[in-house]
Amino acid sequence: MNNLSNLAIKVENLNKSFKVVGGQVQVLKQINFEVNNFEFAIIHGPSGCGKSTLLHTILGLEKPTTGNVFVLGKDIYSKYSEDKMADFRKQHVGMVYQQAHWVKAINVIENVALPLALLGIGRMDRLQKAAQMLDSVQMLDWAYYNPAELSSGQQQKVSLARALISDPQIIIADEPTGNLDYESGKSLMGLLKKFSTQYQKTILMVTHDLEYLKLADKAIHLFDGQVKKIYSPQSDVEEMTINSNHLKKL
Amino acid sequence: MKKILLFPINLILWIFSVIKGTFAVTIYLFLIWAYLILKLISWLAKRLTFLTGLEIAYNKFLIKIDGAPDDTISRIELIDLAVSNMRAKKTRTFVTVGGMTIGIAAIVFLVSIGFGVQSLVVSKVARLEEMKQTEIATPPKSNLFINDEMIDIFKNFPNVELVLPQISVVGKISYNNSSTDMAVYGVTQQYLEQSAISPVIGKAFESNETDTTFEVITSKHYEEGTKLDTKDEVLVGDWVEVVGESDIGDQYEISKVTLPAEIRDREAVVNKAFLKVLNISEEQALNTTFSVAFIASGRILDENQDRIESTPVQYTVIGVTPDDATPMFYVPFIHLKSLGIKNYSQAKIVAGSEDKLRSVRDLIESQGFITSSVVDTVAQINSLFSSARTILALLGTVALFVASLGMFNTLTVSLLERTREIGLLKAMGMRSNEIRDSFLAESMLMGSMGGIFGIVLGFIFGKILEAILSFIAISNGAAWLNIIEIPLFFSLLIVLLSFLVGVLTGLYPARRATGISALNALRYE
Repeated sequence: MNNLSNLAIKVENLNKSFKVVGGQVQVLKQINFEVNNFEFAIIHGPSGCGKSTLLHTILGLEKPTTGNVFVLGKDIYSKYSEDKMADFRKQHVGMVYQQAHWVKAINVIENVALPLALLGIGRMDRLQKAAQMLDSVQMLDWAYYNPAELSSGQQQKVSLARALISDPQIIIADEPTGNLDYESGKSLMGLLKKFSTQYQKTILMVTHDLEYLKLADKAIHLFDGQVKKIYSPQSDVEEMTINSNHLKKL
Repeated sequence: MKKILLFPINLILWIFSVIKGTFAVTIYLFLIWAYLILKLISWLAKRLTFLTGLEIAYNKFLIKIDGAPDDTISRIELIDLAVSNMRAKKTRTFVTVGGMTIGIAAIVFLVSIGFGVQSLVVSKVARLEEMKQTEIATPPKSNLFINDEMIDIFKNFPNVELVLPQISVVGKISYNNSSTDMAVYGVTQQYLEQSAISPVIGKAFESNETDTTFEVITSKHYEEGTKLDTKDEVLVGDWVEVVGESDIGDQYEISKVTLPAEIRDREAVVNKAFLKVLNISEEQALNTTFSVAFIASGRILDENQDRIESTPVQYTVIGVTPDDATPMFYVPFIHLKSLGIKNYSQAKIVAGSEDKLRSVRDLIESQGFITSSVVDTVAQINSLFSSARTILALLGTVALFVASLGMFNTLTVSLLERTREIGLLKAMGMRSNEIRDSFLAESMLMGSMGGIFGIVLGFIFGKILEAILSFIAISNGAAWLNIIEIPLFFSLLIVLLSFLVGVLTGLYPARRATGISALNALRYE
């Protein structure tokens, strides 16, 4: 609990189990980790290890069976109702998904401006800001296209612009490169890294692509619902290789 | 036990929430309409640049009256989002709104025919002025009379505008060596006007006099052949000039009465039937003179009078009315009153307004008189048509019901299609009630649009039918038929109804939408 104000995310003794036919499946077992402010953290692990469930729990969408989740110092499950949680996400959390989703009825720039609309910001102001954001991801030329007309790589860039427009403290990315080819993935990750330092964002990213581990300040290795290791990939190259080999085997 | 105790509290809370909900929905309706006006202004502002200021100011005003807290989306934006969704699915929106339009149009069409035919029938039965008139008569075998005193009493009743007495007698007409009896009405010009009796040829007389100057006899001038017992007998002769005093003596009966010379302008308004009976052509009717002797009898005379008959006098036809059923004619009221008639046959009372008539009639009836008005007939017609309209409206409601099922279906499908979108919005931080409002906006917009287009379409269909029927009527020699009528309150009711249908059909999908989890946006397929 010390220095909670320095922590963007703190997960404490987290357990999550799902009811299935014939009993329960424990997906997350006694998870503990912290992400500091302005840190770039990556959660990695094989498919089915509980990465997504963990992410949902941090987003306030999946109530843990036991344990606590603190986001920006707030115990989100003990204090917040669903709507309060929504307000919290709206103000403090930006999201990038594996597959970008859009409100299909409106064009790219309006989609990017949508988080600002939810914050009650006027149309002119938010479209101006959206144009700036699109420019910073080099997608301004596509502002008046329908999002569905864009390639996956372009969509992810726009998605990143949308996640950043409301200037949230935390960006949560769920396998953002999962659908992209190598080049597009690299360019997206470049942007993500750039923004994290430029705008001082805390980034929590889930991936199974170890290529990007070197960008992260902290890596959390999840295996079979348990935290196997928390380490700093930049200082621990060896660790990375081991992990990488381990994953390649899988 | 606890449940039972809590029941009243829960009931009150429930009622409170219903009131609150109704209030919220009403405000939302207002916002939706305000939004449509905003769109209209924006559209105009694109063409007329000087309106840009107005557009911005109005937009600010809307966001202000919406009253959303600073950090939440205003409902105007939600409505905007709903409109974007409707635009994105043009065909679907068109078909859904089209269904609503047809449903509403069916109701409007059927009910407006109901209203139209009703006013057509009522207009044939009664004119507008007649709706504030009533006829007064005395009940048979009563000692009530409609005389000058009574008329003064009536005039002083509240809400009475006019009291117009009428005297009916029999006229013995001689014309071209033939003679015939027919009804003669002594009326004022005002009476003719109020009864809408207006000549098609010539004009009506102008006499409005009801008070004769012959109330007291000062000089007696008995006509030849008049037989009186005493001078007191001159009761009748108050208006009589009797020639020769020598004959006063044995007998009691007055057989001939001369109309006083002071009553000039012996003009009569006759009807077409009159002309037919006397075999006068319509072209030659004006200025034809005929001789008439008035015979009064019955209740209009005093008790001690039995029958009075005037000497024949010459009348000139100055107007012909279109009525060709029963031969009769009108002469100025004062002419007949001068015969010595103190009690009138009938009186027509005009009330200050239509809704005051009832109270006026009640007052008169409380005096023992009989009133009759065309309003009674109209009331019966109205009640008949109101049942007919209900049946027609029910038929239309079937169409509306089908249409609202269509809308319900559209919204549900749209909801399923947009599951991910809703998940995304929720993950981004949209609240449940905002999601609900966005869906409701869509259904309310579709409903309202269907309502407006439906009224227009129903009206057009009605007018087409009217044109077809009128064409047939005109080719058969009748006039244009106004069979379509949409009263303002009915259009307002329809707009309200369509909006209500929008809310009701939208409620379920909107509620379902709020239950969609944000996790839908995170899953990858």
